[in-house]
Amino acid sequence: MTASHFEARFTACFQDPIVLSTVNDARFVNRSATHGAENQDQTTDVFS
Amino acid sequence: MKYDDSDEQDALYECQRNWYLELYGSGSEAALRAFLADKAVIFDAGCGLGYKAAWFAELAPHAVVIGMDFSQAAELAAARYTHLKNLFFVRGDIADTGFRDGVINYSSCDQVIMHTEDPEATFAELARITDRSGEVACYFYAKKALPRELLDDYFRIHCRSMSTAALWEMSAQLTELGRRLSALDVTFEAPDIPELGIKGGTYDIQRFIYWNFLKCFWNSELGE
Repeated sequence: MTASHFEARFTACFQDPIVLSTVNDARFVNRSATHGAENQDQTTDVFS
Repeated sequence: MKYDDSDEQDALYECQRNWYLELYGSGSEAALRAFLADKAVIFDAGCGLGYKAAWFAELAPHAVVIGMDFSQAAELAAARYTHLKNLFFVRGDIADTGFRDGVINYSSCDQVIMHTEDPEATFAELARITDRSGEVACYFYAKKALPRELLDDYFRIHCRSMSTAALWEMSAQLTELGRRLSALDVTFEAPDIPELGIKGGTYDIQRFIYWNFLKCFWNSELGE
């Protein structure tokens, strides 16, 4: 399976849209209170 | 020495993996691999630095493995395990995961749930997100004697205001204390002290202090 296949399966686990950061190949989602601020400067893939 | 620079990490992780296999009944890594073979989504709730989630991802390369932690450790884990394409990390609250109902096939919450604000609510969340035919593996610490619980509570608050350097220094001091107590190789008969929750019996002196007063952990297999 490809990375994008896993990413699609991962994002489908969530009730609401999430922002998956793939900067430097690190697959990371920040759902903490500062979510928006911390991710603003990063290249992100947005899934819904 | 920083954790990342420690050459004792592998020994610690090996110890934890063996402990996990024994605790949850797999018995062997091959058996755990077989157990995970039909799990499409695996959740490591309270994953810390992610070594266990990475282990699951290696054992179950077909599965999506998700590690979640309330702390910055989740982000560090994501940066460390980039080679595992089926592994994802989330910084978030395991009592409010945001997952759909029943989407997880195996939820592992190892040595974590007692640290959450409302363990019962956290467990209810794990039950909600785990498929009816799936499994939840959860281990929590036994309540220790009163002096140990009081000191642990104090440390949990006090540590927030300590610098990283001071925390490492104190950790080294506590480990050294554990090492020296263990080296004494002394056992004795402790009396029951019910009001303090101290149970009588034959104890090694290091274990007696560890269980009842102070978390001065020592395991000679994890390094000198």
